[in-house]
Formats: sequence, structure tokens, C-alpha cells
Amino acid sequence: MVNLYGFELNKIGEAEYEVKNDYQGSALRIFAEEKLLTKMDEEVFIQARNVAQLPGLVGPTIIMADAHSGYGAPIGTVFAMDAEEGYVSPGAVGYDINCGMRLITTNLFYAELKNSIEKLINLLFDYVPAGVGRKGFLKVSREELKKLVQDGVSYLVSAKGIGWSNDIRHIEEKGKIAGADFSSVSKEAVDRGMSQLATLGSGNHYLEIQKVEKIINKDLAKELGIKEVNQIVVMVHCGSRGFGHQVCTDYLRIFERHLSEFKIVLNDRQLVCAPIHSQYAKEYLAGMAAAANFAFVNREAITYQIRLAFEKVFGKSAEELEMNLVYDVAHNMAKFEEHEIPNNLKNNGGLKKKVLVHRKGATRSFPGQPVIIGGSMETGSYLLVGSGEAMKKAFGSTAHGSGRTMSRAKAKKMVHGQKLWQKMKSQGIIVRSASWAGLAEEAGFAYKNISDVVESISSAGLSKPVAYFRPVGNIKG
Amino acid sequence: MVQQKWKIIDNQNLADIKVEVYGKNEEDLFGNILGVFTDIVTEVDKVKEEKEIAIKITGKNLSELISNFINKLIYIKDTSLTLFKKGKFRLTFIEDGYSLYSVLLGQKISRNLPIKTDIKALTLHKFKVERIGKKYKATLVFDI
Repeated sequence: MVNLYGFELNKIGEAEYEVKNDYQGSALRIFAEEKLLTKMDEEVFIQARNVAQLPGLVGPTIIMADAHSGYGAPIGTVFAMDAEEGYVSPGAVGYDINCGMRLITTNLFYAELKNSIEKLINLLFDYVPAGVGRKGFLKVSREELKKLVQDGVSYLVSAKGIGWSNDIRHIEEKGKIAGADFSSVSKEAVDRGMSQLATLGSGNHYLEIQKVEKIINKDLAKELGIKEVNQIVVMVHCGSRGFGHQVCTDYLRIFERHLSEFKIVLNDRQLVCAPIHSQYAKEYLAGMAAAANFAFVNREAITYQIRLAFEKVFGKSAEELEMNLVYDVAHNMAKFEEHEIPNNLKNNGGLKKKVLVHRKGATRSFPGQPVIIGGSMETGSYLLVGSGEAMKKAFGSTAHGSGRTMSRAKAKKMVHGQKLWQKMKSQGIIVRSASWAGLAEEAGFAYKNISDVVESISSAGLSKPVAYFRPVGNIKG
Repeated sequence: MVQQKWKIIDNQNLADIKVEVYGKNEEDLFGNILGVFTDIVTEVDKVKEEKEIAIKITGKNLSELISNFINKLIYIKDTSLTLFKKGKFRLTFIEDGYSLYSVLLGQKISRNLPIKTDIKALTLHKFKVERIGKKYKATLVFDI
């Protein structure tokens, strides 16, 4: 047993703990080795307990190894709502709807790229706007934006000629969340999104050039296009920009205004939720799907620009450079899925049923599906695949990153961005950032060790590691 | 003694930013909210008074009014790419709550304005507005 901040945690499996249920809610399970568990901040446990007390939950509330405090639900939370009698919580999906990761291969090796890395990073910094106030290359009318967010990546490829049709099958839900409805999106969201298409944004969003450092599972790696050590890959982390943030803001406000109709008690207003079959919930899910599609389109448009930059620097076509999409996976989303409910006597343990899975800062991890886990810009990232165990234990979910251990404000006090930039350069990582402060916020020491996170989710059986990548160039907002 | 306008709480909310904003009265509170908003995104002292925008917002109560005000600042930042140094505020009571008329002075985001971070949303997490004697305190957590 581990006692943390007054919470009693019993070890119930490999890298799996259950919080003593003295709070009248669903079971609360944490997938982490003890060394990560003890690094989690107190708010993680308080916020997780608040989530576990939401009405309509089916099975346990799950906290991933990379969890850290957020608002409402911790980053790294998964829970399932009964598809008939449950609730939907926009705050527990998060503001950056379908913030996610994508991984692109190349057939280049580090030795071929080494002398061109600064040129490439500078070009990418121009082609993929990052930070506050920079506009993307993709200009669309409102009518086109409507089609993009309702039809997703296939419309971008077929109507705008941006992206590869072959990419579509390598995107979660083929780049289109069904049920998106433009009329469920406010004018403010549309206005914010219009100029932000094909932009990276800020915060922890990045575009990273990486080299394969280690191949852990050779067969799986080969299948996914990761062939040899020192091969160059590109990783992108970004989301639905102001569009998604506004959708979340709008529906939190609507849900809160009508909260008294739902007769529920909340420990945190950020977790405000509405019954799944209410009009408010239906409209939110339609708006959320539109924002999710905005994010898929955003990442595909960014990929188009990345391919252009590589073509220009290396004088070969992106096809010749084998710049194939390995996968694009979402982090913040609510989705109707059918799941075996992890054993929980209080809440329909063992049943298979349709549920609305909320993943906030967590990745879907279905058997064989690629899972991309991004670390800090100083350390590295992993490619994994989903597993059957994730289906049994965690509603087909796994971790999403390395997870912060320090606030952004504190990280900025500990290092100046320029100093960090110099240090990273000496380590062979070339960085372009829209702001020194933004760079300092993302220093490696502000995050947990990515390998510890992967060890935890691998021990728990939630996903299997395939390859490990080290950064050689990074662009961040 | 100069009254503190705001305080950034840097040991909480790892991924976000939590602030306490103070005001001698309601109008002063709005001025300081504007100040901390701009100072999180850039350095408020470096913002020039080149552009004037008048906005009018309403809210059923002071909390809602503050929330609507911040959401408006986010919207203007993202769509007109404008940040504000200061403003003049006039708060009035209306039949179903409050109305705030403000004239904000600032500038377009440009290369000479150092950008620190982006504010993407005001969360409801720990969001609180308190009246302490004649003064006001707002606790805000921004998604950045």
C-alpha cells in the first residue's frame, strides 16, 4: 500500500493501483509504477476523485502514468459514461479538442540531414507558423471551413488538393469524426479558427525532427515504416486551436447555465456535464466533432507544409523521400465505443456495453493501433502499439506524453529560454521558438522521464513499445 | 504603499496559470484583469497606445461579467491580433445584472512586442470573485 497526500493506494496489478474508495464514487485506478506515482502532484488525486464522483459513470475512472493536474480532470484521465443514462462533460474532454500527435517517416538518415538541419528548421519555421498572431497558408471561406469541419481530411485532400489520400487511412477515424455539425459551432469559434488553420499554436505544441535511437520491436517497427536506427522521422503535436477552445468555452457556459435542470452536484464547475440525450449534450458532441475534424485537418495541412520544406531542402519529392504518415492519434476527445467494462463490482463489472469514453490527455490504444507518445523536447519520444490488455483494463486507452512535474511559471523562473536554446544546441538539437519564455516553459526538467512513463504503461500492458526517437530539431510556439 | 494589482501563483496548476487579481472597486478590478491578461501574453509596459477599441458586455452577475470580458479579450487577440495596455471602464446595473462599457487602448501584435505565452481560455476551475470589505479579488485559472 502507498499513502500519498492522505490517499490510500493499493497495488492491484503490475503498475496498477486503486485508490481506497472512501468518497462514494466509481473506482479510481492509476496505471503507474510507484516511482511515477509519487511524483504526481496532490491536485491529480483531488481532481481524479472529483471525476470519480460524476454521475453516470460505468466502470472505473482511470489515471495514466503521465498524469498531472489540470482543470477539472487531471491531464491523463479516462472514464466511460453510460451511453443511455450517462453525461457528457466538455471540461473533461478539455479545451483543445483533438489535440493530438502525428508521426511521419522519411527515408533519410541523420548523416544526410545533419548539415542541413538549421536550413530545414528555419524553412519549417516559415512554412508552419507557430506562436501568437501568425497566420497559416490555408485561406478558406466560411463555406469551405464548414465542409472541412464536417467532412474532415478527405475534403481537404479531394477539394483543396492538400495532403495525400493515402494518409487518410492512417488517421484515427480516418480523419473524420461523424456527426459534426457546423450549426453547433458559434460565430466566435469560426472567427478564431479561420486564420489559425495550418498553424502550430503555442504552449506545449511542437513540430520535431527526430532520429530513430532504438528499435525495440523490429517486426512491428518495420510494419510501421521504421526501418533502421538513425532514420529521420517527423513528429507533430497540435490541436484545434482557437476553434476548439471556443467550442469548449461556449458549451461550458451553456451547460453551467442549465445545470439546475440536471439536478447534479459537482465538486468542480469545470466538470459541468449534461445528460447524453439532452439537446445541450447533442449539440456539444456535434460541435466537439467539428472541432476534432478541424484538428485533423490542421495536422494534415501542416504535414503538407512539412513535405514541401523537405522537398525544397533535399531536392527530392516527398514521395521519393517516403514521407508517409505512420499515424495520427487524438488526445482530447469523447467517443461512443463498445467496451468490456473493467472489473468493478459497483458499476456493471465485466459487461460489454456501449459507452461514451472521455479521454483527456490520453490516447486511444486499440490492439495493433499505433500510439505516439511525445516526450519533452530535450529527451525523446516513443512509438508504441495498442494492446488487448488496454481494452480489458482501460477502455482501450493509454498515456499520451511524459507529463509535467513543474508549473510553466516555475520553469520560466528556473531557466531563461536563450540559455536553454544554447544548451540544446550543444546537445545537437536545433530549436526555433516563437518566444524565449515559451521555450523555457517546455524545458526537459519540467517533465517526467518519458522512459519511465513507457515502462509503466508497458508493464501494465496498455501498449507495447516499438521504437524510441531522439530530437535533432524542434519548432515550438 | 502601492497596492498589489495581481499575483501569479506559480506552484499550482502545472499546465495552466493561476492568478489572483485585486481591485479597489469593480472598475479597478477590470483594469487589473486587463493588465494581467496582457502581461501574461506579453510585457504590458511595452504595449503602445496606438489603437482604441470600445466594447460593451453584459453579465447576470460580476463573475459572469468577468468571464465575458476575458472571453472578449481572447476573441480580440485571436481575430484582430490586438493586445491592450489599459482601459477606461464604466460599470452600470441593468435590469438583469451588470453592463460594462470599456474603451481599451493598445496595439496590434507585432514583431517588436515580445510574446511570452498565449491565453487560450478562462477555465471555470477555481474561478472565484470575492468582495473583501470594499475591495475585490478574482481568482482565475487560464488555459495557456
